Amino acid sequence: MDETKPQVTVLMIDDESNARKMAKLLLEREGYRVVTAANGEEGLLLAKVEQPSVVLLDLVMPKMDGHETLRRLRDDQDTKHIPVIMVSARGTEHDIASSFRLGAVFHVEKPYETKDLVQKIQIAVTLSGRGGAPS
Amino acid sequence: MTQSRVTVLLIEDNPRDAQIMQEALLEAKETTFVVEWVDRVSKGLDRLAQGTVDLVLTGLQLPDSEGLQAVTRIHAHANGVPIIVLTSLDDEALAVQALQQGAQDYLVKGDIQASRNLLVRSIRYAIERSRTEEERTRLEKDFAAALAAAAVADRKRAAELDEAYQELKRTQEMLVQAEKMAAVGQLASGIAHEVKNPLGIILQCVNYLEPELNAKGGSQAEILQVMREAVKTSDKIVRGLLDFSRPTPLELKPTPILTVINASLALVQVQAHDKKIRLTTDAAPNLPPVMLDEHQMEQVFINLILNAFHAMPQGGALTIRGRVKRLTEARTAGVGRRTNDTFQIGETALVCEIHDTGTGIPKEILPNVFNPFFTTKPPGEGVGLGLAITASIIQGHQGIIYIESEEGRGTTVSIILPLSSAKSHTRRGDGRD
Repeated sequence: MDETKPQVTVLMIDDESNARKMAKLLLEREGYRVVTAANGEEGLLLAKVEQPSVVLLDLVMPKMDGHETLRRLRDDQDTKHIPVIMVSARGTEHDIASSFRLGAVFHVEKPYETKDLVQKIQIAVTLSGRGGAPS
Repeated sequence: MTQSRVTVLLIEDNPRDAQIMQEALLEAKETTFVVEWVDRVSKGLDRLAQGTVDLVLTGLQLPDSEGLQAVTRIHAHANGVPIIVLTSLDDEALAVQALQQGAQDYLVKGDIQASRNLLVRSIRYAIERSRTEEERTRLEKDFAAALAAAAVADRKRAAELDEAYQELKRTQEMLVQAEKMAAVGQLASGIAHEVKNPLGIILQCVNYLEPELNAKGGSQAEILQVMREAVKTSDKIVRGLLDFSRPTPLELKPTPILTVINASLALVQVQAHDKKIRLTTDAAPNLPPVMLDEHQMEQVFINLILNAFHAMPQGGALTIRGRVKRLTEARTAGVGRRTNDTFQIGETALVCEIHDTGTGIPKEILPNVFNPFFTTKPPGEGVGLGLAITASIIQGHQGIIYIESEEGRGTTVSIILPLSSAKSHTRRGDGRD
């Protein structure tokens, strides 16, 4: 597995600790390196430092919500190239449209099947040309 | 006395007395008295019946009438003509009784002989009093009539007020209902988010356990599958809630209603066959297209058809009718003469009826069926949003929906849609997203 998927770092930003824990367990089992942040600010910082291949971003979070975090990721020279997948319990047309307008590559609605998320991570990483393809 | 000619009917059997009276009257200067003399009460009554008598002078000792009986009889036929009683007795008690029987005055013959003016004066007064009396009666009658008219007007005003009040109450109920819906919508979208997050985590847990337990197979793999299904079902319910709380923009296109009806029926054909339900469509093929969101209107028909199926566990018949109708009845909420009525009386609209021969809806729950979360189905089989969503879709189409039902006989759901709708809106039109 690790041969076809060279260590891809996934940054997950979610205020729900169990959601972070499960996503980490599942994605690590899929061969990813997973770093997590519990809020937007911490996420922005980790994105700069870790330079993940993809960011999984929750929408509804206290203080800085997912869309604001997304905006800042796109505004920052150091992070604007990182593909972002919104992962949220909210999935109204309005939410989804906002996600895409702000530059997200996918908007995944919770609850989701892990295999669907993995598939989208792969697409996002491949499209961005960073770390997806074997080096 | 304005009358210059007065016809006096004299009832007196004593010729001497009669003559005295006639003479007394003929002497009067300002007034011409025409005296018609009869000697029997019966003759007097005949004369009275012919009319044009201004006053009756009568004695009390008459061959066909004894004493005050004469007054009583004459009064009964006098029709308001004043009566003066002539008597040879100066008897106070008799005088009072005569007046009680309806006489205007009581004169003693001897007095008349002594003062002839007395008779003329008495006659004048009697006529004057009678005229005043008549005037009073007339005024009283007018007054009573005015009172009655006022009472009628009052009743009418009260009825109008009552109707206005009922109207206000209906409007208020509708507002309360709209507010309730909006509150439910807000609550639902808030709760939905809170529920979908943990559902997401559960599904992640299921995903995590899957490879290992599926490899083992057997009951543990099955249990995981049950968990996954439970998550999916919960998610579906929550999505239903969101569907209801989120106005979906309508995509209105001119669409024949038959297209929607046929598409909906096609989807339930198999179920109808299994449940032994006969499906009939009764709609003219040339019904004009109306502005519809085909997809959402299909949802309406399917909801209503499945509700009808549910009401016919032993089978039955479901009929969908479509007509273009001129709306005449104002009994239906939303059809009226006021500007905020959805339809005006006299307007032509498309009326669809979905009729079933099912168990019917009990009267006491009929007012609740459009309320969100109201359901008669056992827990787990429905969350009670079907009709609430249906109603909000119809409202989005500027239409109205109402239900008539008779327990044991069946239910008819009527949908009225405007024939031409320039007004396109999102569902419920509250503009929230």
